[in-house]
Amino acid sequence: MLKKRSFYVVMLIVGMCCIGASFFFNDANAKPIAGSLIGIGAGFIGMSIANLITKHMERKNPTLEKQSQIDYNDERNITIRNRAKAEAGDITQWLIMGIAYITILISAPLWVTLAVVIVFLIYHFAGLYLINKYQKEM
Amino acid sequence: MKNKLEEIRRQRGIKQEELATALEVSRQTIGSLENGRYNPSILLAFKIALFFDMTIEEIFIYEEEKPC
Repeated sequence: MLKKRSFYVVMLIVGMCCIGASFFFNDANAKPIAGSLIGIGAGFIGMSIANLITKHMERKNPTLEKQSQIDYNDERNITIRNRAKAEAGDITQWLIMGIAYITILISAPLWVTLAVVIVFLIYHFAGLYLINKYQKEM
Repeated sequence: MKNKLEEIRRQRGIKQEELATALEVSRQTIGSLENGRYNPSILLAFKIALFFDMTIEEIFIYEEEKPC
């Protein structure tokens, strides 16, 4: 999605704050929280820097900016993106079911299997909700 | 759906890039339209027709699918 430069600056700051906050979780019990914060922070920083560099290059070269906007809004590209997302979603749905069966086979705790099944159900209900929503809109 | 887009564009001496810029689509979209790999939305079809000052039917040819 095309976002404004300020959005990525905010994301960069949030990423830095996440990494900074991770240093406050020194306790052994809080290690997973620190790890998650570092992961989220690194992700935000990486994404923001990449997008800010792109925005900077586009600002220097208005033709490039115009072309990237055309490419983003191009109806064929939108169709390709949406089709790819839909197919990736279908593949993910079967992967989630596969993971659910694996958790049963490896005798994982019940809550793990249930969590995976709930994700699968959320996927289906979200799909049904969106179908209903778009049928009303179109 | 077949179309005469490439033929019309060549007759007018317009490059794919120029047509793409005028229609605000990518050059690849023009290529795909000309090859018949992609059918345009009704909006893009109107834009193309307006650009060439023609009707949609003069550019795009609808062929009904034959029953098996």
